[in-house]
Amino acid sequence: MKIWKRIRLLAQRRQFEEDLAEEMRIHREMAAAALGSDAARAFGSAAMSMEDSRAVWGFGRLDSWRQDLRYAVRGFRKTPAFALTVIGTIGLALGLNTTVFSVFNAYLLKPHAVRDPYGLYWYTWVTAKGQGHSFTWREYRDLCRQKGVFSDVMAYEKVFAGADGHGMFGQMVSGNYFTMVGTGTLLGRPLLPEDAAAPGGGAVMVLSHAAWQNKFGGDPAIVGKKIFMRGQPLEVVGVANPGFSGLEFPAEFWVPLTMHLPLIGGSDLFGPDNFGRDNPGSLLVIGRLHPGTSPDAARAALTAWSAGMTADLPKDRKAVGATLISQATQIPLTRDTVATFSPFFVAFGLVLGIACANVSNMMLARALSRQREIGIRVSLGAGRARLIRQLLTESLLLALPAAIAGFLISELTIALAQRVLYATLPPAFAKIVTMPNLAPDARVFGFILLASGAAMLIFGLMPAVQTTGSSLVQANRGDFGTDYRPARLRNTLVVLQVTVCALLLISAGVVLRGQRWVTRQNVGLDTHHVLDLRMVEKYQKRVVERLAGEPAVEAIAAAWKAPLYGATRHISVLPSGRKESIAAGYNFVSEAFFSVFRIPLVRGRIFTAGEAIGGAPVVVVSEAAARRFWPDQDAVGQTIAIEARPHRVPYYDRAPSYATAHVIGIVRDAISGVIANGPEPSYIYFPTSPRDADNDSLLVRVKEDSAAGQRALTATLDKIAPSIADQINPMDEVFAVQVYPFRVLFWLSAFLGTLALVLTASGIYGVMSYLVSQRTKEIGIRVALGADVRAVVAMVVKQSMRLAAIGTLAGVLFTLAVAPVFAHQLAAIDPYDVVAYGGGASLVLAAVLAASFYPSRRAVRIDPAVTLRCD
Amino acid sequence: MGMKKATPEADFLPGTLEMLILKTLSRGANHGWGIAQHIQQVSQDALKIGEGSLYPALQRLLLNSFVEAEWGVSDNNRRARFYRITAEGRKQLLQEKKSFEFLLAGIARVMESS
Repeated sequence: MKIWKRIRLLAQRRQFEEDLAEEMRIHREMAAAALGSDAARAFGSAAMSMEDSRAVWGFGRLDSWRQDLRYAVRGFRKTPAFALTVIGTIGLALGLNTTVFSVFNAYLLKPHAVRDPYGLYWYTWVTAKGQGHSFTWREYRDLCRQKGVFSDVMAYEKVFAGADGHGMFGQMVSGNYFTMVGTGTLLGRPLLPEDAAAPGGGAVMVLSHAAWQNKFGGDPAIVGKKIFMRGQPLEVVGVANPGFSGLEFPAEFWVPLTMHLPLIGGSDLFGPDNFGRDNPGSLLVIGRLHPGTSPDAARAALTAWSAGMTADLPKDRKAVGATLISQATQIPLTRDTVATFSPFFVAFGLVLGIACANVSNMMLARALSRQREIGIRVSLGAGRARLIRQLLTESLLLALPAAIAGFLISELTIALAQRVLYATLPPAFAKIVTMPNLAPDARVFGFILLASGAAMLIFGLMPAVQTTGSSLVQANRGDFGTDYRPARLRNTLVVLQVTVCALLLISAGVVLRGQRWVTRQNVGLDTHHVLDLRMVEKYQKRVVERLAGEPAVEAIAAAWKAPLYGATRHISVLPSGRKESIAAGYNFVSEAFFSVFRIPLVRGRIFTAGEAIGGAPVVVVSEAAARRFWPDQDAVGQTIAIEARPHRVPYYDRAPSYATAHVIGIVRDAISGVIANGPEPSYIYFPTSPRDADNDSLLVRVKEDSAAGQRALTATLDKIAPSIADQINPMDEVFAVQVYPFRVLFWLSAFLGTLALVLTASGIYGVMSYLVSQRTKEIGIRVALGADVRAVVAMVVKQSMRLAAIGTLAGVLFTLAVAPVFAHQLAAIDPYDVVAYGGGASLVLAAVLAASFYPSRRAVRIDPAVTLRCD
Repeated sequence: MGMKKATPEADFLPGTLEMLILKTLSRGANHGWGIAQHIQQVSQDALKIGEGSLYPALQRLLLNSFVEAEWGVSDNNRRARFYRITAEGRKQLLQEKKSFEFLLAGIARVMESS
């Protein structure tokens, strides 16, 4: 209210002044008329009255702001290079930080575009061992009947399937999914409860906006078309809103859960089989909390319900608690998820810090070179607060364009990073990677403003406080050279910069060495010309028969898990002659697996086709396992006892149907899970065949190259039924994907490290140049007195190298301090790697040396005769 | 706020001048000189208001929307800026009057105590 009045009046400033002057003139005339001119003289200064009146409206402060602003603009117009350097430096660092924040925002802060996203919770019950639970249809129905916790609950199952040949992530959902979530469609209609009315019915699907755009070319007539998935025709009934890409995990399509049997197979989800208590469920649930029910209250109620549901089960299957995870955002915002993100924030934040330090130093140098001006202002009576305000105005004037530059740079970076990501990812995976929506929103803008404000305070306030702190006498003399404090601040900034540089470069070195370690690993598998072919069970037998006659195919094997996809599955076995059981990596493979990957047999034999089909109680073990299980004996002919583990989901824990098995052969070691973890310490192969259930993969060795083989395979498969393969991945690319994170991390840390190095080097260069010009007189005297050229160079270089040495040492110590966090997580990463430390440290020192050498050359060229004359 | 000691005019408690102006204006719109004159006359020359304090006080009242200003013509046919009290100003006057009386009574009790 008042502020508006002030602003309105400010706009009509001239009118105000005229009115006031006129009014006072009239006042005086009236007074003169009434009292005579003598009396009127007693009124005092009209200017003073005007000034007091103006002060009421706060014009004085606004005036001085405007003055500051005008003065700052004039100053920057005179030195545009300085202004541009500051804007560029801060803008670049801000832009990179904004990019990181955009990603963080997209996953952890931006709520789903649904009705009341904060009421949605993913729920499971947990056993005493902390194991979660997948629900059966019956359990889900029972949960739906529990009133008072959720106002509505939906069940879903995640699938990855090929739709018209495009591999896509999707969800099979209960009929209330879209109504419960509360999100509409861009085209057509959402799935409705009627779609999921009867088991086997509802051959319809809704596509996500992104899938519609990227996989189906944004076809405006897509609604009503039929898309084939796993041989089944599904009618597209709608395209979801662009803002909605699925809860819990990004989905590209939604299909009614009633299509479970035709699309997934196995036992009937709704059939009597699945009502038995021994059936492992497959459904996940998300509910909408009753308005007024707190998550804690819901947790308590659900714990009670789950305890009742599992009351008659053995102890290890009894539910003891409930887990509720908010589904408001793509990734729930918890302490753990924030901790995962924090290394990125720290690394990018440090770069911003370096940029600020650089600019701070530049501002400091600039302020010092204006010491005479400041001195004059002080002696004319300018207060310290007024001076600081003026210097801060200058910073603000730079921070605003820097924020704009930062925003543009972040937009560019995001676009570029997405393009680079798609270009460098192995193609089979680039096709299925989904990108979050990284468009800026209010949170991103808020972040830029906050970050640029904070940056401004750092780079503006420190020099402002420093340079205005000296005494009047000193300031008047223009004598800051003898004042020790700015030098100390400057040195601290340089040391901090070097510290951060060393930290980032050492990290880059560690990651690079890790990447080299991974690529040098002997995987023990020949992945060239091998394709991983994934489809539902019901097609596997037919496909293997068909492909066996295909001329392009050299060998084909079935496997429970294809190798190199990540975590190794473990099973507890008791080797004969030993007392305690050992957890060993394991897999179920058919006899051709070893020839497909060219894993050499060392001793004994591989299972026969008959053993594989019959699931005979025989196993092949790796060399490492043979050594570990029976150190001094021949492994062939020994037996292993397998711990019985009932009620497990075969997707995660598959157990053979027998209790003991004979070791019939030993094969060479191979890496099956994470390459960065190194070779498996022990590995067991159980026999299986394409006729068995629960095999995820068919592994095909083709005669030609993978691409041609893939085409031949697709053609053959399509003859069986349209789009039956979920995905066909060349194993070379699967391997490349394992190395990929290391490449990304390396390029990221190398990029940040280099940026930090360039910023620091240029900062040091600037500081040293400034110092040399400050000490021109001193150096001139030294040279005049006969100082050696080398001594002068050494003097300048030594000064910066001392700072660099302190900074590098601090960086090394700091890296060592955080190293334990990363130790023993991956065999490939050695956070104490001497080479990385040495390399990083020497790179930093070399850069500082180079940066201070040039200014030192300038010092050498100082002519004592000229410098001594100039004062 | 208010007056400086050095000026010949009377000393006011902070805010009192505004109250007097509002009181004056509550009898009808007036210009600056008129306000000063009225206060001086009614106080029988005890309170003399100079422009150095009158105009800043008027600005404060304007800023708080207690008065409005408008150019007009005075009794003796001269151009003058007239101030008019607003509804808010009347409310403020009432309140100030109350607290002033309270204060005055307090001061009186202290002064009269033996």
